[in-house]
Amino acid sequence: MDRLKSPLTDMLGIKYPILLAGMSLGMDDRMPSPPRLAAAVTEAGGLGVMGCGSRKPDTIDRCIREFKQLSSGPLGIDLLLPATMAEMGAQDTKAMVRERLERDHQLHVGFIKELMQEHNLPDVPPADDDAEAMSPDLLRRQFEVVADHNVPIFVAGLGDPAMIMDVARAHGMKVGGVVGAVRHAQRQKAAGVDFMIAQGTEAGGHTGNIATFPLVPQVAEVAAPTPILAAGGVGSGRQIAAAMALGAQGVWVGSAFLVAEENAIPTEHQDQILGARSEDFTLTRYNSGKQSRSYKTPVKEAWAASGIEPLPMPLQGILMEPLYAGARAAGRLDIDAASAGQVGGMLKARRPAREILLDMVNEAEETIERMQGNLR
Amino acid sequence: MANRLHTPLCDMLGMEYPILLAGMAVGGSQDLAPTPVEMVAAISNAGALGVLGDNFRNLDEMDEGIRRLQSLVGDKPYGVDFLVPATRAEVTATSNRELYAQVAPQYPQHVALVQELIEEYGFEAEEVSEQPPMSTELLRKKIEIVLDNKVPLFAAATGEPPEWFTQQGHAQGMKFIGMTGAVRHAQRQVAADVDIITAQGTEAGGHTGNISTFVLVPQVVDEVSPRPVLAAGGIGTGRHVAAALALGAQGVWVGTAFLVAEENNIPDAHKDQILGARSDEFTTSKFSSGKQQRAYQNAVKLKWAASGLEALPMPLQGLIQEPFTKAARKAGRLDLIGNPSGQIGGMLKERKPARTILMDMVNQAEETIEQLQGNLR
Repeated sequence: MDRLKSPLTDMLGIKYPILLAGMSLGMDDRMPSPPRLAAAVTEAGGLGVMGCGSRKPDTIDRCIREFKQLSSGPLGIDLLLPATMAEMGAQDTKAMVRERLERDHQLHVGFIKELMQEHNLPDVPPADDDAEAMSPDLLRRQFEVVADHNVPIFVAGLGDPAMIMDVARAHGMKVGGVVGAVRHAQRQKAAGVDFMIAQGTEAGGHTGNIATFPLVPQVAEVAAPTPILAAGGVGSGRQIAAAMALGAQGVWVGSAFLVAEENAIPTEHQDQILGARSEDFTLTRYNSGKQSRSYKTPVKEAWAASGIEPLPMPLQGILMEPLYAGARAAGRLDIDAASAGQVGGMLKARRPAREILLDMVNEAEETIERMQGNLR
Repeated sequence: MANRLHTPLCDMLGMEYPILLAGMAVGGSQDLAPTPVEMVAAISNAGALGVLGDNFRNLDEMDEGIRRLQSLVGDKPYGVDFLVPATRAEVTATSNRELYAQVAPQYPQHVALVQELIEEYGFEAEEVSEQPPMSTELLRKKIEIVLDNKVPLFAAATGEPPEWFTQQGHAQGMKFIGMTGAVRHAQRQVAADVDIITAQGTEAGGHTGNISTFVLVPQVVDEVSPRPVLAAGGIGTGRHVAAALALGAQGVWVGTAFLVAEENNIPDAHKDQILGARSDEFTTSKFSSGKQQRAYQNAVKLKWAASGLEALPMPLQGLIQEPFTKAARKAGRLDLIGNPSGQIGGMLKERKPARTILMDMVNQAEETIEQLQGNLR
């Protein structure tokens, strides 16, 4: 115990090279990386990162304050900075965007209505209809909150961090970026990030097509000397040791912390993950407009079979919200399913975050020691 | 050398390094084989274990190929690999040509799409071959060749070896490898009494599942313990070998990295596709064979995908396309013919002798394991 390290731990001021992935899907009352989970991970020696991509600026402010009450250790914030998205007016609410969808995308809106009828979902207004839709203006204000708090670590969960680098530097932040392909790594390197997260297709949430095994060494090579973390499929210490063998200096762990006791996702979603097999977590572009992995649902399959192309981000997500609001109201977890990665098939119990993290550390240390037996 | 890569599997199979050449088959003949006899022998002779895939026109050629391999490797271990399909449509036809004549009228849309492709590229439709289709009888004869030649290791590319085969094989000291792409299939291999299980991730080339190597291997290791597990899919360097051992595997099953070996007989055009590709250009499709297969993307795959048609079950999907694939080959349009290969292709940069590929992997695995010590305080 207490032995696992890498150069990254010094750079980020943490004990173990394990980061809580900043996951942000879901409503404010069911955050997948809420302040108390991030604080528990930081307090246990890892780095708590809160995913705030779908949060209002004042919610982000509240989350950071809450974290600071629970931990004086380092914190990371993850925002989405998509390189491409649909044209949006500044401060358009989701309700306004949805009105435009009714007018301009009748095929898509009609398909949602059909699906809601087919599955007997009630027509209830989405809870955050008054919230702002994602736009470059919103991204700028989200980031301002993070900078104003002097949060020490910032991660671009999606897209290109080039636009925030100057401000981040001025605030002394370390900046990381998630990449799913070698060409993204070249872009991030050009932007001058401090570390990269090479995320394989097996990950939950937004993800690419290349698996962690082939991706990590390729990104490590392009990024060098910038350190990289491995993400996608990391849920045990064996996988941490494997990630380090592939050239990563640390890991970015999402799904394994979704089943932490401190998580705020619904208990039913945790149970869904704990009971699932790896192949139950499937890809779709119909949740957000960009490819993401989540527990399989008949709605995802129906979209795929429809031949209808998803709308670009953030329109597709806003389009889907009434359906998910109805599914939530009806308690239909077969439709309102958990967003998680293939490693969910390995997870068997709900546990405190500290225990999840320390078990991983222990197993990683044992694995590295065991591997010395593979040399003679 | 002081620190040599080693696992208990090396002792079980009598090899020096825990690396196996995947028994890839695609060409149907040695001159197009991804696992030609000479390359298989080179790998066994270098201290790993070469597995001969089923790239033979007939049973006599297979028998002769195995004997030639034996003469090249002496007392070094080697393996033989062919399909042992779990389920198969009952076939009454005695040749693929006859089978085609029986099934083509049932799938007019598929036949029309193949015809469209032939016209689009200005080819003349080729006749379907007179090779016998896969049948229980043919499988039995292949198994007898393996048993008669006292082959030390058999790997089932898909499916499980029948009980009479494992019983007779085990009685004469043969070892068996079964393949799985999902945890729930691993138990089927255990029930079939195979000695070693290959857990193959989705990133692999050829027929493959949906679960990645990173996630699959530790689960299969836990499921089939104490049986040893080989990791497959995405392995092209020594770092991958070390990572596979970290995940709990006792060895690796390597395909794509050896496709670009100098001794490999796949067409040069296909080697160039792999060497020039990015990892995301190796995509899965059911339209090559009827089962999900990963291969370099090409215009033909995209056309099938855009057609809205369902792939026919194996082996009919491959058969229905034969008039086109044979014509494309004849016309030298190898870019339109399937090149089954995995995502690791994005890392491969040059043709090298098989022995060099292997020894680079071994050396880097040894270095990586030593370096990992630096991650402990």
